Amino acid sequence: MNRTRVWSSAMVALFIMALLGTACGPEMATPTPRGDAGTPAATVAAKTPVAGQTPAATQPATAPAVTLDPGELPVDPNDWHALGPADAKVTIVEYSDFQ
Amino acid sequence: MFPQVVSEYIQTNKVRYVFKNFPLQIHQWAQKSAEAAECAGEQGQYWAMHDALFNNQDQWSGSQDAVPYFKQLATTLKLDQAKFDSCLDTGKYTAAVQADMQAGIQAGVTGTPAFRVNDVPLSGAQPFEQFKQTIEYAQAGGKPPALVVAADDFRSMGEADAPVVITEFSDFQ
Repeated sequence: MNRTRVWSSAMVALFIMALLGTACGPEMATPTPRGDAGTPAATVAAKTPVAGQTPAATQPATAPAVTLDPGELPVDPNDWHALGPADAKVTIVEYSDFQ
Repeated sequence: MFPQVVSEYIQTNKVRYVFKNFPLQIHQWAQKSAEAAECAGEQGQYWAMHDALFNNQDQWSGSQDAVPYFKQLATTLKLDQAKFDSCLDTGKYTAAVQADMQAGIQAGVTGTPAFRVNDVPLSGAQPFEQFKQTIEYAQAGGKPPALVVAADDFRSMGEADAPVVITEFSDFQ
């Protein structure tokens, strides 16, 4: 009986310690590419959607962010906003803010 | 950017990706955070700051004054602090960020995030499949992607679980 109570108390204490450990984790996360699909989109002003475009504000969250090593990103030495070869057949331009 | 696009197309050098600033006025710190990224960029840490800003958005987005936090990020990224602080405080890249935004407006951008895959616009947080299809379309020189015949039904093309199905009743004459 006492052994059971001691065991239960220990488990409760461990659970509380685990919670505290999570809450006090480091403020800074490792820099990672973000998952846009997890961020609600915003608009400058409500406008009629252009044909072929999906209204930005209605997109669902579908993808989690993943951790990638920033050192692996192929940064263009001539333009710090660009990743990948300058002569790539396909270029994706993203217009966004950080907030 | 969608993580799967990064890993499958950008990290493999198949696609070039360019980030353009489009700081919305409704986002109080959008302009200054963009400038912080530029100031990190001149020290070779644009993408590290880009990621740090997004990943720690909850730490500064609702702040009364986010600038100290941006400077703290610069410290964490081991930037030349004096150079970064001066860059941010003097608004060295204010005009450049605004120029980006004006270029976006000229290109028809009305909200964030907005994408252009070559000339094809994609607005909002699109699913990976949408990016994949558009990228492959562009890689094929603008030709439509090849139709995929369903393995279990030779009368069907496309995904079996597609949200929209077009059924045609016809003859061959």
